Amino acid sequence: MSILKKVEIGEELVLNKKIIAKNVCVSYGELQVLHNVNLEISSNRVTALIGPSGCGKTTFLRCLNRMNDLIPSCRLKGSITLDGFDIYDKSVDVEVLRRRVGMVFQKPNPFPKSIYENVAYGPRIHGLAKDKAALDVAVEKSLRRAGLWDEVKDRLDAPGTSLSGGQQQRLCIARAIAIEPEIILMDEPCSALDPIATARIEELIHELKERYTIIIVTHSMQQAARVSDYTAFFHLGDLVEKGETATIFTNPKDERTEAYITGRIG
Amino acid sequence: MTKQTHPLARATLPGLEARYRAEIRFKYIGLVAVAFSLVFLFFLIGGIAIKGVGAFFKTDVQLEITKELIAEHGSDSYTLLRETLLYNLPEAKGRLGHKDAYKMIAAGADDELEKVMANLGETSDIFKVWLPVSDTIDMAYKADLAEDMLGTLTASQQKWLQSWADNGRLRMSFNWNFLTKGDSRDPERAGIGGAFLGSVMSLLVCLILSFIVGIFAAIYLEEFAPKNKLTAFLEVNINNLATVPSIIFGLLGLAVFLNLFGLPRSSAIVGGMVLSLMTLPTIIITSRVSLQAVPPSIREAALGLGASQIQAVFHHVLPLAIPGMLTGTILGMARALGETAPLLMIGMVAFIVDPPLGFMDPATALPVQVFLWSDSPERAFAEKTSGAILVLLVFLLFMNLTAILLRKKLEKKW
Amino acid sequence: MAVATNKNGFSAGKKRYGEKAIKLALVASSTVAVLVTVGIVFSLLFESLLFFQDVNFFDFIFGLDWNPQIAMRSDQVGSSGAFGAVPLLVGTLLISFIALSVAAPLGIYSAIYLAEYAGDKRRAVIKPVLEVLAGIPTVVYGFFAAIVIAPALRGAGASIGLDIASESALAAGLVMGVMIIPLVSSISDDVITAVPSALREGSLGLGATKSETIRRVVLPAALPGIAGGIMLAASRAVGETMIVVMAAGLSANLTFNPLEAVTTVTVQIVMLLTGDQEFDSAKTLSAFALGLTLFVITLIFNLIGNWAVNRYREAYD
Repeated sequence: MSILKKVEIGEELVLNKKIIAKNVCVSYGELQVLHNVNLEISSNRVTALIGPSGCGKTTFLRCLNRMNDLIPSCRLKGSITLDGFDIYDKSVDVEVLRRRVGMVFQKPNPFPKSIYENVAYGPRIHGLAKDKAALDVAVEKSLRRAGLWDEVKDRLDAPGTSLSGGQQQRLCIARAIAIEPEIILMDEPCSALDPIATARIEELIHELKERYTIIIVTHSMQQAARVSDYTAFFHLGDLVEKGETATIFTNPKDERTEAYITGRIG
Repeated sequence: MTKQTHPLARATLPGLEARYRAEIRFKYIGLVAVAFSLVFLFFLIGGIAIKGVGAFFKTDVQLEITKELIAEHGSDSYTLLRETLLYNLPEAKGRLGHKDAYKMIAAGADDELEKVMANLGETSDIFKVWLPVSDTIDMAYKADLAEDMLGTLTASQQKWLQSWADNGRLRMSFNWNFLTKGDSRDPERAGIGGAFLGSVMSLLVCLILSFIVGIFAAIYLEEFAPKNKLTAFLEVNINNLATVPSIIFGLLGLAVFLNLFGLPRSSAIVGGMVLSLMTLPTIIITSRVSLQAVPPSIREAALGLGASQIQAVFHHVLPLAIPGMLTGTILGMARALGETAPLLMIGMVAFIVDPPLGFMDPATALPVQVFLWSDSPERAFAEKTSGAILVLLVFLLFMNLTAILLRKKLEKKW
Repeated sequence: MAVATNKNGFSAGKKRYGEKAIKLALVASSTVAVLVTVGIVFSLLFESLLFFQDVNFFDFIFGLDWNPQIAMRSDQVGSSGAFGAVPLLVGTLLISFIALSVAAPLGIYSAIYLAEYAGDKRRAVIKPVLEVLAGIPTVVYGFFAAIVIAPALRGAGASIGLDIASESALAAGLVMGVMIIPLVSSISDDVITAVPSALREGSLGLGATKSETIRRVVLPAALPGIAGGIMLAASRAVGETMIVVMAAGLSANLTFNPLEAVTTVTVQIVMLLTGDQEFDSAKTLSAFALGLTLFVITLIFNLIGNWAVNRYREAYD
């Protein structure tokens, strides 16, 4: 293969990779929780981060939108790039990053405002809608994409907290996509929900991946198997194995991965 | 790769620059708000300290007394003093001149003179004696003969003061009267001694009553009371009492202690009783918190060994809770020390010269003394008021520091 | 003291008498608190009812004229006093309003800074200073208001052509406001800190700045608690005595102008009871009627304030 061809393929591979993490080490003060993590996230796919409690997967996820900046003792070494640009660069403003990388949290956390205001919060802050009509359009679009519109269209003024658990989480998803991010981070989004609500959200993830790149942390292997295209297995702060989901679950290479999948650890 | 603007830099999100400026403004408004309180406190305490520090000092003048004067008026210190003044101020002529001269010296200086006379030997022809000056001269000298202070003196008095100052016949000395003597119409003789004693006595009564009743009530509510509506009612009651304005407790004291029980007006015992009613809810609340802080395992261990509930509480829980209760009580006493309104209601507005000898005698309290003096027009009383405030603040500081130290000491318990 | 033993040889009896007495003392102490409230309510009511035998209740509550002069002798010509409390109530509310206008913004912004921006070292310095401010006796504040603030205001007003009274509501209100700042600040600090961090993270995760998160999410969430704190501060302001006695006016003046001298309910209570009066003259009894009014007003403010703060705490625990 000619050199030009190799470069072309290489570039293509790089271009398809939305986020690249290289040699990422994270420590809280003296305690190191992530050791040399190398991971590439591809666009328009669902990547699952799995592993037993305390393995560092949530810490890694929160590095991707710099939510760990909120913890003063947290230090990161290595690099994380978005479309080839380092997100920890000095010239980066986190508000810009977080507009492009949205987050849905473990326990639904709608603001104590109306459903409409919850979804409109992001666009208002960033000045994305020029008038009320445009804002209405954006809100409806987000609620539709989150699969919540039909259930709430008649009561947009009701408080966001009056919804059921599953609906609240979909509201949080609508809130996150209202600012049109490219990437959505999900931190165990279904752990506080019942099986029916969980199924609803998993269905939603499947629809959302057409437009967005999704990274989901989950402690349920079955969920990872159902929902993701690509899986990364973390254990005690190391990224042990990564690959196509089907491969990881049927033919794991590392014995720790196999032990976790078969239930012997974690 | 060519250098381009980072796609995540500020410029890519319109409006972000303005939002960042709003962020900085917001943070600094908060800082300014905090700074305001600090600056106000600084000016409040600083201003009063500057005004009040002079109250602890007095100006004395050195007068010469001849043997002849003593021979003539020795037994009558009042006349001796006047004649001595006229001897030292020979320019004083006529009735007005004499009046001006007499006003250069403090009221009560004749008593001081008498004491000095008693200790004199018989050696020289001329004795030199230091006597306190009057309040107007004192204030003028402390202000380094500033214009506005000199305005209270007549022309001759101003001249005499200037010459005394130039001839080194004036000195500053510590004003013990301020700390030991009671109230007086003359600023030179006025002191906080009586008020201080009254405060101490009232606080003693307050401490005994509110501490005992408060601790017992807290123990009952925390350890023994069943969790029913009656107990909840008691708790709501106590929480509400803690926020009733202090003047209302004064009205209660007036109606019940003075009128119904006929206790003596303006006495330390009534003052203490009124203050204890006011402090009681606070002590109950803080004592309950101290009891709650004791882990249940202590109680369980005692009960498990067969102790009765009372023994478990009094022998095991209470000793561990006492430091916290003491802290709360000291802070309650500090608050009571500064209270004025309820004491005004029970009659502590009178002009009381003698310090109280017993709890039933008319007394006054330190904050009430501040209030009474603040009304007096003489400049010297403004100084005394500030000085009294300084004494009050020092005691409050002392009490609060004690409470804080106590709290720190017991933080290492478990 | 003989120790009784039951058939198994364990001692009984002696323990019981002592314990019964102690238990009685415990219960009795708790009822003292109730007795105090009962005492307050009864004494205020009793004296007020005596007062309302002489002066009509509605004349008191709605009367616009406060001039408590009583004929000294029965044959003296001269009006019987007017006991309309409205000027006092308006004066109290005017000064309290000024105080709250100072304390609310300064207190809330101080709390925001302490809760969200100040590092541990700064917090450790600022919190004690605010507590000192809270611990200064009100008579000291009153002295400062009368001797320093009022003349300064008067002078400042004169220099811009405004006539500010030497006992203006503004002077008393400003100083009272500073006295209340620590109360507002500490309640607001607690309330803001109690807002769950999940809400803050949700906002920050959407790309909001810290101040936007505080202004648009945290403060609205904390509002019921902060409002409760302000009610409690208002109650404190209404019941305050020494600052107004020393810095505010002594004669009734029905006005909303902060530059004029007004008098308050608490000032009048002090004026009426620190003269040489017979105890049951209408003048003295009116002080109790005023006291009852004050008690009811502060009780209502406190109940509302506590309810708001508690309801808020329940929502976020």
